[in-house]
Amino acid sequence: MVDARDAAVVAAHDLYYRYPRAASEEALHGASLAVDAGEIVLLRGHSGSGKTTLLCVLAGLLTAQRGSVRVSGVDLASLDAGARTRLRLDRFGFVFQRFGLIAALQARENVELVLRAGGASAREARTRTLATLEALGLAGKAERFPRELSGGEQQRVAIARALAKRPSIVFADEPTSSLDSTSGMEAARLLCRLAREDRAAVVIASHDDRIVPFVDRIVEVADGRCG
Amino acid sequence: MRTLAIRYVLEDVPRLVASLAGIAFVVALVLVQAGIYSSFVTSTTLLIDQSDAQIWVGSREMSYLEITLPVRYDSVARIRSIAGVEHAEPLAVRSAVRQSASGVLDYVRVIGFEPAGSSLHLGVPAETFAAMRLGDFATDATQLPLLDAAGVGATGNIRGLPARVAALTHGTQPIVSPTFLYASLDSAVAWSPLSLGEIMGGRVAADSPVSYVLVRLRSADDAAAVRASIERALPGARAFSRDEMAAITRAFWIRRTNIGFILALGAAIGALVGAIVVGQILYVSVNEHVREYAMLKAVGIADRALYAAIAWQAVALAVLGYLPGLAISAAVVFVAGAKRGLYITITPLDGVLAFGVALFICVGASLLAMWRAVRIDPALVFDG
Repeated sequence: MVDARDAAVVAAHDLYYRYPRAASEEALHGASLAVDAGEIVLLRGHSGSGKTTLLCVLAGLLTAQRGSVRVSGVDLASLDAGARTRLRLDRFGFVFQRFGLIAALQARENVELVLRAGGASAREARTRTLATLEALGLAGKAERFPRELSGGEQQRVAIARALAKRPSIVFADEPTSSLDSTSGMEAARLLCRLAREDRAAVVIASHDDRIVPFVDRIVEVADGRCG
Repeated sequence: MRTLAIRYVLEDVPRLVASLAGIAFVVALVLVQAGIYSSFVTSTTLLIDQSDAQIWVGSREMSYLEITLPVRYDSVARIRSIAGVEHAEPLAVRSAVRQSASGVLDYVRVIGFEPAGSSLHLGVPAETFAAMRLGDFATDATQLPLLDAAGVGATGNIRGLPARVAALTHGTQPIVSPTFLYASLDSAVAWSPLSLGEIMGGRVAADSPVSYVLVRLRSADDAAAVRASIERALPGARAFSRDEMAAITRAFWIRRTNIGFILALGAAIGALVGAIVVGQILYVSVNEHVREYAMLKAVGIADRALYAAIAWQAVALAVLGYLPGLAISAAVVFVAGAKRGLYITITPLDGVLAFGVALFICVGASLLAMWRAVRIDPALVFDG
């Protein structure tokens, strides 16, 4: 059995993807990428280069019309929709540009929701949530609702949600672009530091060069291909 | 997900109030309609239920309590002579028009019986009945306005003969029947003579037509044998058990009025309106949280968990809407009883039924919202 923490956790080969009803070229045009366990990779490219599409295909949210994505050796195409959903819950963490927090839930509840869905007990979810929020400097703000938090704090809650379940891979889409300079840098630094501590692979799609110091490798994405 | 469902329900107060109003409306409608139905059905057999006669002897052609062919008055004596009969008394159901002292007319049903030792128990003291004279009657208190009578002592006439309120009963008036006047057999005959003997003599005669002979048995164990004996002794008559009388009467009114269908139709239309209100509100709620549902799907929350979250919202709405619905129903029942004399009975079973309907409507109405939620593209959350 392959140990996800000791091998390339995600490997994509020759991906082609065209959005349904899209008049333009393929969003992905022969993209290939491999990310090792614990490696932090920045997908860098201009808007429309295909970074986010690649992220979605790697995460199993979109299915490439050609090519393959293997996660810890398992071809995503061999999994049905339910299994891919379960894989995302068990193995992947996500950080979104606009945080993706649920406004009606407190910071703590936003994190716990995903842990509980993954099968954690209420007590276990609470413990892990509070520990992760504390590691992200949000110990005193666990009971606050997103509207009561700054943008940077909201993104840190989102990072906590992604990391609290100890994922194999974290996919982050433009994690700094909705934040001011200081908050963005802090969020990126914390994401990379905590992921590294957990030996989680991180794939960040961003055009923000300020992230560069925190990553192990930069992959240029242009015209649907990885450079 | 339960916490999320509850928060979604509570986050928009005006929307919540609209939802609850819709559900409360349905609950109240179902409860009141069910109450009216059961009160109606119960009221059709009040006279039968309030007697302790085990056997009602009447015509074989009897349609229901108030529509039957007569049996002769002298059959009472023949029935009394049958072994096993402890008591037999005549009961005449006749129609008349009463005119109040101020001239107001009311179509009435005269229930003529023998007050002394009667098998009818109308909640009036025996001495009150015993003191009733020719031309006196008892009636349900709720009927006084229809009779244009202020209370006991109010006068009027039937066919020019005195017709005075002598006593009041409670809970003895069928909802759909004309006003029941409980009077002595002689009063009934005087007000509404049917045979030549009655017309000429103005009193009960051997050939006077009566509607029923009420029979009490020495032993309930002899019921079958006594019924057979009565039917042998009185060709053309049938000895009904009290349960048979009640069942025939109930069935007549249910069939004749279609009340069950009418009330169920009203409740169904109300339920449909409630379902549309709740369904639309839940659907809009999902639309307002599209990005959040997309995020949940993206991070790996299964569709069935989303179904559950929406179903929990539906259940919460059903529970929260049920309680004001109950209160509204109670208010309607109170007002109907106090102001209109219409006693609506809501049983615990009706309460359970209404909750089941509310739950069914809410969960059923949530299907559209579930359909919407599972069709949300999780990749939507990646759109900046």
